Amino acid sequence: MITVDTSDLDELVELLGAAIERTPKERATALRKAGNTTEAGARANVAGYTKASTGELAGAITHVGTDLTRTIGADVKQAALLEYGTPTTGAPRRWLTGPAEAALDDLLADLAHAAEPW
Amino acid sequence: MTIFEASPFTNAIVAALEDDGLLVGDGEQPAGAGWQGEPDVSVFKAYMVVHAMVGGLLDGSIGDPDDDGSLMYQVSAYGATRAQCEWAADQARRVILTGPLLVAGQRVVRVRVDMLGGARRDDEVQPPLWLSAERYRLLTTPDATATGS
Repeated sequence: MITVDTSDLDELVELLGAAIERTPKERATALRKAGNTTEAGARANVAGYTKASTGELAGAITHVGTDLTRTIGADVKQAALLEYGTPTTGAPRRWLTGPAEAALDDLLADLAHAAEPW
Repeated sequence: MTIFEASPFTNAIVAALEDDGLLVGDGEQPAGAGWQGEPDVSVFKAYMVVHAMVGGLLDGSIGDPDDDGSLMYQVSAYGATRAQCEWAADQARRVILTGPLLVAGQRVVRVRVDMLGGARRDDEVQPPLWLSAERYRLLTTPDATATGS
């Protein structure tokens, strides 16, 4: 004999409902944490460079976005010159993509946790 | 226990590009590249520069936790025009992705483009140059047939 009891679905719906409310908040928290870590790392990298022009870059690092999206960068020419390098500025230095990559692992772990229904 | 060595992979990338007849520098502009005489009047020979980048990691099994490498590279392609710059970047991509990149005792499992380089005009130098900064990630593991394991 096989018995099918669908009443457990009610509990599942309740759990998922709680998760739906919780998930955006946790996503926002995870993203904010990763963004802050990336920006701090980028500022630390730029602070380590000795060229005077990097002061302008340090001051220009900023972010835009919403609770669920974030773009980090600096709208000055030194940003790309340092990141990718040129014949005059020398070898590429991952002042921004380095910290961003490092923060990504933590972000993915936090997002995976946020996606768990309980 | 063998300690992972990164330099043979950089050497292999530079060698593969050179073997294809491309003008490639190992962290710096190669001899004979760029303007062949007076800038903006003479011929510009497109070139590329291989940079081993900060980043990447070592991984592996519990027994050999540092055997597998994920290495990052940037190949900066330079040209006097957008078209010349992208041509150089295309040639570099063709060589790097099709290989083979040969390193004794190691197997290059995959090389993938981490970021296409596009083409950007560098006005810091006059006349301006065009630069494509393409990034690659190389995944490697010990060659089991070579080590006999």
